[in-house]
Amino acid sequence: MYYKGDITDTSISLIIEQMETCLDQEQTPTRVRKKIIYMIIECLQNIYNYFKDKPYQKVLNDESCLDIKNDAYSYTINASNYITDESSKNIIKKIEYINSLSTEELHELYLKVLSSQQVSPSGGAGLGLIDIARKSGTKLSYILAPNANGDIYFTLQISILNN
Amino acid sequence: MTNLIVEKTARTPHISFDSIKSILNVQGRSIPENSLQFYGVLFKWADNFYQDTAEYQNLEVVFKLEYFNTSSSKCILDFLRKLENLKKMGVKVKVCWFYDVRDEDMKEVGQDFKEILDLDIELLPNAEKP
Repeated sequence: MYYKGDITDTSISLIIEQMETCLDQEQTPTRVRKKIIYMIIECLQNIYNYFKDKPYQKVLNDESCLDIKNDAYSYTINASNYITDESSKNIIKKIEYINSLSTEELHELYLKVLSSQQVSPSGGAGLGLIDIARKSGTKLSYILAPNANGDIYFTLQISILNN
Repeated sequence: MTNLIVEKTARTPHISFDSIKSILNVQGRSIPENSLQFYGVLFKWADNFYQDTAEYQNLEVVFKLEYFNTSSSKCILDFLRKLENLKKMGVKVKVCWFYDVRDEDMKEVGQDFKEILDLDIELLPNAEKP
């Protein structure tokens, strides 16, 4: 499944609906199906929250992209959107830290953040990347592609194993 | 306390409170962009319940969730903390956390809540689609 365009309330609903239909048609096991839908929701809402207060960046939001591929062993989700150089540095720092943790350490971090932080007015709970890493059971990957204006086209890559 | 009904949407769960049986049900998917706004209804409901602890000595809260986003999980935890306070005030609170047997992540979240909170949370497998 592939989507490119701005991430809005409406597009999120449509993408989720279409993805559920695709996964049902492919008879994807419920365990994997739920993980994929969960990851997609988190990725799309992260992008939505990023652009929510930046209507002047609609041109950049139009380049947002969700690409889901699968083979015999896994599903791969690529969620891409433009962010500032500063934001990319913050996200990379978080990803590198999350990837350095063992499964037990990641669980501890999840519990710590869940029980201590408040939901921000923008809608985030600071848990998204931690929970994505935890539920996927694999390390997070990312791709950075700067444009001429200094913005970064950031791709978060998530793998979900079939078994 | 009066009955409470919040109809489900594509992004938010059905919520109902049966004031005769003292059972609160939360069922469906919880993926709103603004979780704080949605769960405000439940926070307010719990605050009102504090005023009625003389009338209600028991409360059962049933969660049957299909999906929820991380901001919802934070709001659900905050709501459960309010139930923890009700327990401290003498109300016998029981939380039934249903999960699809094929969905270990939903079961794990229930286990996490059990670990964080001082509440009677029962994890209940549900073979049917929630």
